[in-house]
Amino acid sequence: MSTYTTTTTRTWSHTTTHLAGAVVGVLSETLIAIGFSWDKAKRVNTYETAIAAWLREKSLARLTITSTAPGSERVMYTIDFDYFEEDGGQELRDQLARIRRQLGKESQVPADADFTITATPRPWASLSDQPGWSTRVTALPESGRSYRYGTAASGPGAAAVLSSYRL
Amino acid sequence: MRATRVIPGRPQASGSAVATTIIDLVASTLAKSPSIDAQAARAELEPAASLLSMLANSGHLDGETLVLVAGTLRMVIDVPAGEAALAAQLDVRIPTGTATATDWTLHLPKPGHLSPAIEAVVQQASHLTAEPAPTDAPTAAAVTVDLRRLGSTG
Repeated sequence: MSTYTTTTTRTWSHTTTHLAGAVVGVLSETLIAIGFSWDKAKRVNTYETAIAAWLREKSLARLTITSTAPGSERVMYTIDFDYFEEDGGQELRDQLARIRRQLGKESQVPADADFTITATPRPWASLSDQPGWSTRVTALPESGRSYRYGTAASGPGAAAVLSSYRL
Repeated sequence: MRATRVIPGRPQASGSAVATTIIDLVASTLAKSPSIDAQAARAELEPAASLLSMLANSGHLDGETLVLVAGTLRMVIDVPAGEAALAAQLDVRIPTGTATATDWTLHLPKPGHLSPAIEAVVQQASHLTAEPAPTDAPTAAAVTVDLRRLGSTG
């Protein structure tokens, strides 16, 4: 009897596409779940290319999602990116279903609220220019206490962790 | 006729690339019908690209959730994500079953918390719906033939 085996190699390119897709997916879902209209939330999908590019160059440390209700800006969520040694045997995972189940705890935003996403580079890196993104000239607001939703997605060499500052 | 086509999502393709492939597949499938304007169908689908991208990236198109019904065709467009996508092969062959189609419907999934977004898109497109797809493939219209009359012709 012959035995056949197959090996799937997961590359860094797989990881960056997987993480960028999962991150914009979970952010879109979260923003819709807390009351942002589709017209506002859908622009998150246009950030997928930029996030994938920054992950490929290993320059992206954090995405900060702030609510920008008139007169104030508050941190709502962060996504932190951890980089580690690549292991092609590590599977591509996501925990979107688990995060989705917890979204019911979140309060709704006012109808006139909007949001901004700010990308922060790793300490020794800079983010490459990407269409649709501009340099932020004001400091981010203080973020306060956070609730760690968990690892939104992971793959060989990197993981993305979602935290909420609204609970 | 039942058909299933597969478009692997992340990490094989970005959400926007998946959405473009879905729209191409649906428009090309409908182009087989002389009664359907495939360009008009494409124009109706393009505003839904962002929603399809999000649904693909979030894993909501994994399985039998996105279904095109036209003529005698019931086509599932399966978009696996993660490890399942890594093992999947792209299959966008144009199926048969739409040659006599005069209308079409693309059924979208409607996860509860995404209802507002789905409804916002569906309301702008007359051929998109969040209603579940029929479980069976449509059949050709029944034709009644009077065999006695058929035998007496000549």
